[in-house]
Amino acid sequence: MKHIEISELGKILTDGLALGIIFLSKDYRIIGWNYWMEKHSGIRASDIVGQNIFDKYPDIRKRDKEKYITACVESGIPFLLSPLLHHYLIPIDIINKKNKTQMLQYVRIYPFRDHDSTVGAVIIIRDMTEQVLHEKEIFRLSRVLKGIRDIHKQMIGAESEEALLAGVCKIIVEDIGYEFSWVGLTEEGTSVLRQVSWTGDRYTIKGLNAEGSEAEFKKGILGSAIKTGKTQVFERSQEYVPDISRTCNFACSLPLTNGNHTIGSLDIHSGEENVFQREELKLLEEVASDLSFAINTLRDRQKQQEAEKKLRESEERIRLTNQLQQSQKMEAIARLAGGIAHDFNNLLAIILGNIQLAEMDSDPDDRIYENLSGALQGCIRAKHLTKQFLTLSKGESPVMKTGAFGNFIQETADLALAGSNVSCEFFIADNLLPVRFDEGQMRQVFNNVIANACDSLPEGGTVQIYAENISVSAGKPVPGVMIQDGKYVRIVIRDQGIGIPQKYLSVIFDPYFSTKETGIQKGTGLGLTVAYSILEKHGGYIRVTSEEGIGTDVCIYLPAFEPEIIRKKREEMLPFKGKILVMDDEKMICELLKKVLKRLGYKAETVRSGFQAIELYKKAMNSGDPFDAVILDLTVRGGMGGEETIRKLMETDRNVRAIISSGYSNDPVMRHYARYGFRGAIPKPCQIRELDNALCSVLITDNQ
Amino acid sequence: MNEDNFINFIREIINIGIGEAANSLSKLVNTRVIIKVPDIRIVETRSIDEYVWNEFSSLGVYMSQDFSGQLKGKTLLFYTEECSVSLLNAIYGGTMKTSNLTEVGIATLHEIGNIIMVSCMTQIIDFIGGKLSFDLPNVTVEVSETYFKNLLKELGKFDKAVVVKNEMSIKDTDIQGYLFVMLSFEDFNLLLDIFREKI
Repeated sequence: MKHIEISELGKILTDGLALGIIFLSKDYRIIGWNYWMEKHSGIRASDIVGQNIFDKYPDIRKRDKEKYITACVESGIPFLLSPLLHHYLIPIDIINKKNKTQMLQYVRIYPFRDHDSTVGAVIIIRDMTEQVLHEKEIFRLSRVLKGIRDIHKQMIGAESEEALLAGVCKIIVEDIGYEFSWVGLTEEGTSVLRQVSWTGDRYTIKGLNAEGSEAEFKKGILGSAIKTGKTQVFERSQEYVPDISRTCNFACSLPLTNGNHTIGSLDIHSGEENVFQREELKLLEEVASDLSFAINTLRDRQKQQEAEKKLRESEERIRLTNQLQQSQKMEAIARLAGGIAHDFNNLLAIILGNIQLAEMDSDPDDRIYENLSGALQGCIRAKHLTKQFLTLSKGESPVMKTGAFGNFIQETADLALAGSNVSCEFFIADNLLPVRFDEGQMRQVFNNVIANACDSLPEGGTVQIYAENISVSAGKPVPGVMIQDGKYVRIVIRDQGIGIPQKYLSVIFDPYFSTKETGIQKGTGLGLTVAYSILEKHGGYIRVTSEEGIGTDVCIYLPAFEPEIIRKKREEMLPFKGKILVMDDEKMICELLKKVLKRLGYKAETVRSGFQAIELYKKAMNSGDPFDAVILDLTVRGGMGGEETIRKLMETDRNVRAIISSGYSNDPVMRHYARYGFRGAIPKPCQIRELDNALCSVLITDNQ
Repeated sequence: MNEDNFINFIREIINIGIGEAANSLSKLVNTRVIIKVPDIRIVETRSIDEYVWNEFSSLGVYMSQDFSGQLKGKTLLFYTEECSVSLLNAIYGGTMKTSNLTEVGIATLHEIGNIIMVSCMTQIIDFIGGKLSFDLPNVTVEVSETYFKNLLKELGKFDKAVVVKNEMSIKDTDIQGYLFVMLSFEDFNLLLDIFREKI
């Protein structure tokens, strides 16, 4: 068996391994140049052997790599030169698609020994170009993938287009590592592109028109991306857009689309060459596609929200318009009903009186007596009817008293349901605020509403009554209800009865509208009309919602009264009780009011006429100790009354805090005191608490 | 010469070698590299395994290089994998930030290991006035604890190891590593004798 020749083995190894091998003599002459080196350098061994390596490759000295070879040969120290730190030792060109780069090398320089001395060196070169580029690509793709995950999170959480685009540009630059990223969006209906968001070195791009006269833009790759809707990659030699070309080396323009329309472009710039290729570009196109989807979704969502808002506003406007129309209609009906009822009542009084007289003059056994009794009963029913009409009209002002409403609701409902097959459940808030209400009128409201609930439950059942406090403000309105800002008590009377057909809901407050059989026993068609009118007079409101077969909710809103809070505020805000001027032509009333106000803690001065009131008010003002409030009597016998006095006082002091007082509660000045310049009105005679509350409100309001 | 004196001498010499290595690395990566030696000790080669597992529990990357000439032995430079990755990231900066070791990264570790190990050994041999030849280093990335155990089996011929704990700082990154210089009992005594003679 033949032995393996070492020299033969050496040749196999040097030529067979995919490594470049160079043998150097002690004087740095090339004494060996393997086939790999021939193949990659294009220099045949016969042409290079014998030449000094530093003469042949001056680049080695120029790049300060000579020391590794010399140290190895002179000191016998082996060296390793890694591709990322040194890139290469022997310059070997790699040409790919006209691009010329240097082969990245992993170099081992090993001393060649002969016994104890070094006689030369072996340089072993491994081509790491593909490896380095591949690893770089993997690193970049990993970062792009991580960036895409972050961009997806951004898309899911984005609340606005602006925030989304800013977030995406930031991730592309700060997390993925590109140099600059910006988004341009086309203006709706035009081809003008506007830069809306960017991260990185700032340079702004003015509106660019892909279709207009800016010919240069059309030629550039950005313009081309916008026009064609296809990704464009920019490299140094091409045109990007005017002004930007100078600061941009490598970029890609990724169109953002909505269906077939281009809505903008996501542009990414890189300082590195050859990054916008293959997999990376595909991933970036996915980013652009997802971004387009997110922009379109956000725009659709915004459009939907705007449409919903408009619809809500429109529905609300219709509801409020209906409420206003209802209110105006009710006012007209009330005026008409009041007028008719007043005249009819007078006629009825004459008829009733005469029937009673005739009845007194007739024999009870006589047949005519029976007829007169029948006529009398009819008159009494007619009187009851006119009373309801009077309630409808403005003529009958409520006699208000302040009190807890919870007990009242329970008592009234229990009484209304007594003897029926309908029971009642109450859900009344413990802290329910008191309200000011006319007990008789409010009982009428509840009786009417509960009677309707009972009628909708022919087989019996349960009516639920809820009562709670609510607060109404500009920022917190009650949908479908037009009431002033403030605190209210809301009462909901709920039945799960037959409900009201939708077509009737708009007319349920109209007089004589009823789905029940007509007649005294069944329904007059005035129940809800009267309830509406009463609640309006109380500053409240009634709203009915119903669904056929499901049930009906009647919501009643009544202004809540917080006397304790107001009093507390006054005590907090006013260290003094206040100086009050009282004008009344009745000496006894003046004296009484003086005593009462003193007891309440005010300092009061009284006068008997409007003229005196004006004089004293001016005098106090000029002395620097003005009155805090004035109480004026509406009617002064033979002198200037409250109405004229306030006019004169306002000429002196526009901010005069005046309260009108009168026994004529229906007088226009009492009912519409604010129109005449007064801050409040108190009936005569009034309770001490009412006087205190009125003064307190006037002083607090002004001090706020 | 007792062991304490020996350690003092070897610390001085290793510090010079490590300083040279830091200098070379600084020039190479174009940023300041500081290498400190907080601890040097002599251990029995058979107890290296125990020492290593007391110091760090995770898998690591080790570079080994044989040397021969006046002294014959092996140097072993050990970093945990996390430290090796941190070292590479500190050198590369943001361009090639990685979370694991790649072939290109391992090539870089090769070069760094060669610089540190050759620098230290060159200082020792310069001090004793002899000559050393170095083999090219090998880098092993552990994926199994058995790799290091298998390496230790090869160390049967060596008796003593100088353990050099080193801390490298590059761009605010601190990396802790261990350099083992393993010698046979005879070579270790020879080194002691040469030191004694020099003094």
